[in-house]
Amino acid sequence: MEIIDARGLECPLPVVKTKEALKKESAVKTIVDNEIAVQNLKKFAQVKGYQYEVNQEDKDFSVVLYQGEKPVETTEEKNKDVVVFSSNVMGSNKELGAILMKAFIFALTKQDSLPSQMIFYNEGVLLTSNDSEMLKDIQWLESQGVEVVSCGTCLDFFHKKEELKVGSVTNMYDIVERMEKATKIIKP
Amino acid sequence: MIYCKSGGCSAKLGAKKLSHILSKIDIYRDENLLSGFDHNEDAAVYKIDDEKALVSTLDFFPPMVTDPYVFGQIAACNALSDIYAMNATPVTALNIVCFPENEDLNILGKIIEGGNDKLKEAHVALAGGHSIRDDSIKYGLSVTGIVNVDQVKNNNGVQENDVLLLTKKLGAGLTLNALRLDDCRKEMQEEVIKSMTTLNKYAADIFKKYDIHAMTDVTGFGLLVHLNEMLDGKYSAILDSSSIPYFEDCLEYVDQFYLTGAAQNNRNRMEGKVEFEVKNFALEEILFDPQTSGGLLVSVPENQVEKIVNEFKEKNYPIYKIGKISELKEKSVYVR
Repeated sequence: MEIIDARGLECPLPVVKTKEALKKESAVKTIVDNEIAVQNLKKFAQVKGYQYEVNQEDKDFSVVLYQGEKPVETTEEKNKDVVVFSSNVMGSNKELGAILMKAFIFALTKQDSLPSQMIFYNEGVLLTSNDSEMLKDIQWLESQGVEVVSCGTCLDFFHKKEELKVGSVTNMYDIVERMEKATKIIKP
Repeated sequence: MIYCKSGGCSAKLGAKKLSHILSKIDIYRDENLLSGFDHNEDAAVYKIDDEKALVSTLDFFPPMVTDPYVFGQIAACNALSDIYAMNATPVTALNIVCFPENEDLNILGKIIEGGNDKLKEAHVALAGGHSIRDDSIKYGLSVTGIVNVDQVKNNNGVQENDVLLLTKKLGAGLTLNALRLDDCRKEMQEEVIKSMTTLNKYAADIFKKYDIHAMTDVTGFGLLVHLNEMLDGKYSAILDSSSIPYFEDCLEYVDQFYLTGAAQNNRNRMEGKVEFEVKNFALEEILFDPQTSGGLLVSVPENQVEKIVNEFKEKNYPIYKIGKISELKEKSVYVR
């Protein structure tokens, strides 16, 4: 479901933006800051045959327009958290760090809200390649929709390019962009 | 080029909100003030002697078109309109200007030139004005007119069986939205701009010759709210859905939902007061659409209609018969 922040926009823009988004999506959530915009969105839904649901959130309103089944808000859609792994261990002590990293990744799999992406670089790529003890957990996270990417330069450096076992290879431009767009960056 | 956000009369505050605070204001009473604060009138009318009254009004708003000269013209036509709607003759005008400090002053020059050209056309002397720094451009005028006391046309003089005449097409608000969203054909742009820059003077000059009962100009509150004010809770009106004039592409604009917030305000204000016997959503929106520099809405006795309409047609001015006045019914307005 696409989310449109139409606060600060005057009519007809909230409706026009919603209308555009509904051309691609079956459900759209529009956030507006005044009641007249809510009424115009409701009117749009009634005239154009959409179901709608309005919720007040503080001073703002969210209006969900949809066709057919009511959309279920999944956590992946809201959550743009990114977990960044720059090492295969957690902290400076190698022995303890390896244990902690194992616990960290296992704990990630148990969260109610999974991160949207996991980025691996430097020695972090050792976690996504063949000798990693954490492969199963990372593969499970990927199967749940978490995007897994590893730095190509780093894999080359450790001669692991052929041995990547989970996710895809990426470059530093992409990594920077992903980190910029993240709502939260988590570093073990 | 100037930037348009939500310009023209659609920038008006909702009447519902306004009347709530205005009702608490305690004003000085002067018996010579024939029409003012308490009335839903187009302009204030102040009796200066047994024969004459002064009529004053002011109107200003943010730009609704990007051409500053055209904006000036529209603002002046719109401000003058309230004077014509009282059946008065405008004589002097003062500019009201809000302008950003760092903006190109030539833009302001063009706006004022546009306004003044309309004042000249109307034979109104520009007597001065007041300009202040502001974040965004706004322009308008305060206009003073003169009227014979016995010729003042209030909004609310309608009588049963009157015919309702309208002198401009509806849908200016919708068309301006389409223009802002870059989805307005050139022909439509030209037509709506021509309409908004046409002085209501010419229509008012014709009405002056006849025995009309009530007159107002259609602006930000849309046809229905203005009509409702005209009926004043004493009569009802029956509108003929097939005779409502509007700019051609408005049906498409409604389909695209280029609806102003002001139109929704107008709809809310008429809740429970209007019955749409014809199910036509686009027409509803056109009737609620806020007009900038809209036409005159006039209630005329049946026996005058033909002569008036003929005179408009001879002069090639637009005129539309849109409905009639009936005795008071359950609803204020019926659209059938």
